[in-house]
Amino acid sequence: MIMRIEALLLAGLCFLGSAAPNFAQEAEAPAAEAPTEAAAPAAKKPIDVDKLIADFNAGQAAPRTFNADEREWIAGGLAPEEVELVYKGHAAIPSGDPNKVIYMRDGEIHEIVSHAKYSTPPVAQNLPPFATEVENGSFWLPVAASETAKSVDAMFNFIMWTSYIFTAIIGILMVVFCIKYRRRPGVRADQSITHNTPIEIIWSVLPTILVAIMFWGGYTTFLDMRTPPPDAMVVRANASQWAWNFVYDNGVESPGEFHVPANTPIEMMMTSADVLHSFHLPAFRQKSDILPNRYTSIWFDSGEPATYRVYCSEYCGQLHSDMYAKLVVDTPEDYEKWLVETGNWMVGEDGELLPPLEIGELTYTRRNCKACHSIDGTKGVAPTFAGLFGSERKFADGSTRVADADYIIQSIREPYSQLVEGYGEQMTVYSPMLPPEQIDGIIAYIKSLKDVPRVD
Amino acid sequence: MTQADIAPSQVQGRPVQHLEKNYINHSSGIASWLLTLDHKRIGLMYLMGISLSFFLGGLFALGIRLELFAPGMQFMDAETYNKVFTLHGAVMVFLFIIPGIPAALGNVVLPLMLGAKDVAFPRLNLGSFYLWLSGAAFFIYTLFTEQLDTGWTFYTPYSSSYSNTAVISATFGVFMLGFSSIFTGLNFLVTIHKMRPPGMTWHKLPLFLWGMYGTAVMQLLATPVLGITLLLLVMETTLGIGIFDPKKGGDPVLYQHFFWFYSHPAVYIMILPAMAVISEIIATFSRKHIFGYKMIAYSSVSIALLSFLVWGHHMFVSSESTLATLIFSAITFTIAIPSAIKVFNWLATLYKGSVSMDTPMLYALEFIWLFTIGGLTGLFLGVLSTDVMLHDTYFVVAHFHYVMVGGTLFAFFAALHYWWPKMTGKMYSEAMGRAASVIAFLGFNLAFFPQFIMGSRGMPRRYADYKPEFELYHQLSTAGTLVLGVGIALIAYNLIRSIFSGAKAPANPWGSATIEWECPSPPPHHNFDHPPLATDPYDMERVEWDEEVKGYVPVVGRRAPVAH
Amino acid sequence: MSDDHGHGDKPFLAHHFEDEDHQFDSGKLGIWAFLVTEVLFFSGLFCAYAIYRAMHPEVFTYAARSLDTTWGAINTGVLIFSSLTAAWAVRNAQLGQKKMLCANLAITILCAFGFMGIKYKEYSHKFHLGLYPGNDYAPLEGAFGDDPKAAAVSLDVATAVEDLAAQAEAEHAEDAAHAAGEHAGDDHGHALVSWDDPNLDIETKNQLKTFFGIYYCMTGLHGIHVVIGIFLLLWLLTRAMRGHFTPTYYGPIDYAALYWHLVDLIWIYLFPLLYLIN
Repeated sequence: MIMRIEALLLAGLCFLGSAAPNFAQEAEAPAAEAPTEAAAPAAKKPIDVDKLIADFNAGQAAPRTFNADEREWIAGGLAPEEVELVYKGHAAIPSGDPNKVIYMRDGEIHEIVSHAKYSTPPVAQNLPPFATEVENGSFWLPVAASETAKSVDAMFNFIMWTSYIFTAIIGILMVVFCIKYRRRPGVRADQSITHNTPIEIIWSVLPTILVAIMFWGGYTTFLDMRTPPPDAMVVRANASQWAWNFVYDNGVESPGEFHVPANTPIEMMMTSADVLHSFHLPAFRQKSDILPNRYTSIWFDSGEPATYRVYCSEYCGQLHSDMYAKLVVDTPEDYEKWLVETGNWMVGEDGELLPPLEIGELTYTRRNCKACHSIDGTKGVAPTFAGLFGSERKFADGSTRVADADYIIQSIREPYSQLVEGYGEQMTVYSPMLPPEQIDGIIAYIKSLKDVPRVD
Repeated sequence: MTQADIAPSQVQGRPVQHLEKNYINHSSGIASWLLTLDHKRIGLMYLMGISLSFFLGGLFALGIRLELFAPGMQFMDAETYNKVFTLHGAVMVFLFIIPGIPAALGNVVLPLMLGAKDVAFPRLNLGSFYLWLSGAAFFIYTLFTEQLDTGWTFYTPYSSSYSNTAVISATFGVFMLGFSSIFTGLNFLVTIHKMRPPGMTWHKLPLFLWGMYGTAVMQLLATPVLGITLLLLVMETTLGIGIFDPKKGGDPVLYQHFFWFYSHPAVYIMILPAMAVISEIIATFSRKHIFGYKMIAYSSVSIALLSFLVWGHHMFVSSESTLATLIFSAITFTIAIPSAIKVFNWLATLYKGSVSMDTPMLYALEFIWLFTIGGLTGLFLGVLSTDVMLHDTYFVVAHFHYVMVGGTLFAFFAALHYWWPKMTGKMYSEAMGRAASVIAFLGFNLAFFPQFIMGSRGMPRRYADYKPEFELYHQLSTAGTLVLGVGIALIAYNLIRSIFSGAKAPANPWGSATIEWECPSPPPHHNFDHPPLATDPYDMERVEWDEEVKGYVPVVGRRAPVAH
Repeated sequence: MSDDHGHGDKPFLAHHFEDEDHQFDSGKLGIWAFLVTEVLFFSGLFCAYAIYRAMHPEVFTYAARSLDTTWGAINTGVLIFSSLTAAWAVRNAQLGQKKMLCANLAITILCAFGFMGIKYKEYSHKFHLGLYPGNDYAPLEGAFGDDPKAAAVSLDVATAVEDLAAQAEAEHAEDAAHAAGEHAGDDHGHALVSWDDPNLDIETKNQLKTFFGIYYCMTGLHGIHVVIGIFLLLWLLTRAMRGHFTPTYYGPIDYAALYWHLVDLIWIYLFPLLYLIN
């Protein structure tokens, strides 16, 4: 009979052994061949390195000279002011390859290479490879950027030391007892010790007191963390599948990155357009889930100027691990300047509105259309923009329609009214957020991609 | 009474150690297994099933760790990664850990420990097994169709409206597994109430049975809530009834409340049996009466009851009201106390004992160490201010792996090695057993301790990719996982080898005083001819080493119940 | 694999029990534990009901209009009567009255079929009105009452659109519900809107849908329990006809009756909670 169990067990193992590769194959199937070279859409403007450097030096007391490497980085798209950051590991070196991140660490060049087949277009832009707050933190914790964060850390350290002491006591006693009372011939266990009320009371009451202290300290700090001061500046954070959009009281919107003035209490008012997300700001020890149809809020004191990383920490689907944002604490002057620049992103240097195509291209990045709609013809979560304009669309209900401007507007306003065959109800309804200039821009942009070959 | 006091003539009455016909060869043919009502055979079938599930879950774990060895995507895309971590969690939790100790080992041991011929409802017991099997079949189906990418928690509205994977079949699988768990709990509850042998009062119940009793209560009261939650989730996914999906008028936080009302007690469904096993093993291998019997027994029951009042601590950052967080945080700390008491009692049991470091004992000691770390790091998560920053980071991942793997899995290995001779009638290689145990212990710590550090430094969980500042911790963790894998492979090899070439096991190889060691190894079909008389289960002097049988035999004249 | 090892004269005494009493007591404890599980199984639905009703009491009172109280009351009567016959059957089994036992079991089963028949009628009527669960929910004109005018509930459109005013809206709507009918021409000076008005804001429509979601889940799950009960009782009826039950062995009848009482009890809660709230 034992043989029979054995046989069953072995059969089971073989079965699973054969199952595993099948599973891998299945999972790989959706990842279609990705073209190695991203087909350039609207012709890329060549970067004038000398002009950028000249502009940069115009604003500097002492002009900086850039070596050949640095000039190459600027040619690759790095802003001259970011060059210094590269040496600290706080900005990436342009790699020209979407599957490769190059960064510098202690003077050495490092690369993060993803397999082209498995990588997804990076959603978060301009994120430093290294988070300053983590790099400069202690063994356990990132830098504490506010007073509240410091009181959280005090509790963390109190619990940590309690844990060290208890682990040490328990570990040492265990080892000592196991050695001292090891089994030896002729020595018997002392059967008289079955209980000892005073000791049992002590070791019940002592931990109770300790955890009561922890509970109360944690609760009071928590109250503080959840109660924004009345004069806090409000920033709205709208999370949607794999993108952040920050909105200021004056209506300025900033996707993926937000700036706040230094030493100001900031209240985040957050909501989600689709699934659950979570706003996770380690440097301020703050976090809150973000829910659709509901507002949640947290606050923090912005402290000194610095850059921090924001994570989405509630699992939200495919590109959850790319859903970062950047928080920049600026001096009040820099903040004002940034706010004006950001508010006027659709306006060119001449003070006029940019042409629709340029607005469309910027909107594509800013609104994070690129997380789902590719421009190189590859199949993503949603249909590619490449070769879309003028093609015949086939919908889930069997009907068809030629993709003209009207079709695109309707897709933005009521994305589920004409679901393309093979795709789900995933798109965020953007129409409340998109002004007409941007919708026009998107149409112009899609039109410009009309001749890029598509893979699906 | 020392060894010398026993005259050879007294030993003549030593009990039967082996039987020609035992429960394994009592009847043959595949049907005699598949249709058996014998709790021991059902337990063995469970053991095979959960071992395969563990193997499968382990493959997924390996996939996760290999992908995370370096930043960037190397072996799978983000979508596949999401599926792999989801399936790892779902398979390990629902198919392995929850039924692990109760259904597999509990089934074999519980009636034996009571001196009973079987559990109260043998047909229901077989039914539970088939429910488990159907649940597993649904999982296999999920695996071969569109897999699952919602995380094992199935949070709405992602699961109900956004995921393109096989949520419905997976949910049905969990539903079936839930009912399997309920019926096992029901069976054990009634068995412990009604099938105790003469002399076994509640205060003479072995602590393993106290733990199983607490577990059964939780299985009965919590699991049905999971059942209805999943049913509603299926209705939401298929029909869109508007209970959990905000787009349809529902509330996703309600889902979380429902889910954790089950899943928090479920955490204790996983750990209580583990603690119960450790209480037995520490006493046996110290050859000493367990310290603070009543405190351990009552702490099991109080953990079971308190576990129903703390589910809200999973939602401190999910827009829970401040009053609710206050209450849930406070109650969470009350549940820490009984757990601490157990650890102190185990330590005190070692004091002035006669400690032998056999394989099960090694696991039990490792359990105490790992569970201590797992428990203490729970304090960080119960404290409101520190939970806010640690919530949904790798700190949580490390914490629950220390409790569920370091705790439950190591206790499962302890129990498996402890009762293996009874179940199979064979002794495994002690040297290899100890080596495997130490390798697994070291590997486990290497795999999961770095996760605490990266978690408190901000690394969120369920990330397919990460930034290079976390690279070192991830690499250590992956290395540790490989070591742990080697340890587990060695355990499997050692145990399987013993079936073919292990020495015959005596009836009582370890010197325990509980009743299951009084029948031969392996036990006969009906366990006991006459219900044995129960005495104090921790009266270790009741049995003595007998060189001839290479095991322990009852001391003549010490059979009468001993006052506790 | 036979179970009767060692108890040759007692065909239904399982080998691992000492005697009939031991077996009966164990079964009794088991069925009570199972009923506790059942109560908790339904508790999730009651909890969802309580939460959504507390949030939108006016929606619930309004939606309950579409439920037919008469048929609901008849069904309640049918189930209570079947509980009586089930309890009677236990007595018959204890006294060894085989014929009465079979008769009472048969009546119980007939009642269960009657209950399901009425339930079928109610469901199909609702489907006919477009009151489907979930996504297919699309009520026809007049689904909430024979006279569309009577069904019109005066509702301030402005407040209905504002989610934040839910509290005030609730009170307002309840007041209005009392006055529905004659007072359709309202005295607040606001436009009137019917609840099944397609232009009603989406929140409120969703809440109506949620009510029917909960209604179908609760009654549906209860219906499934009735069907399971029917199979259980049919099985017991065949065994009773073969004379399996004796005054010393009647456990299964007792357990099934307990289950049946629980099914009855759940309906006794469902009926007022769903049908009698306006």
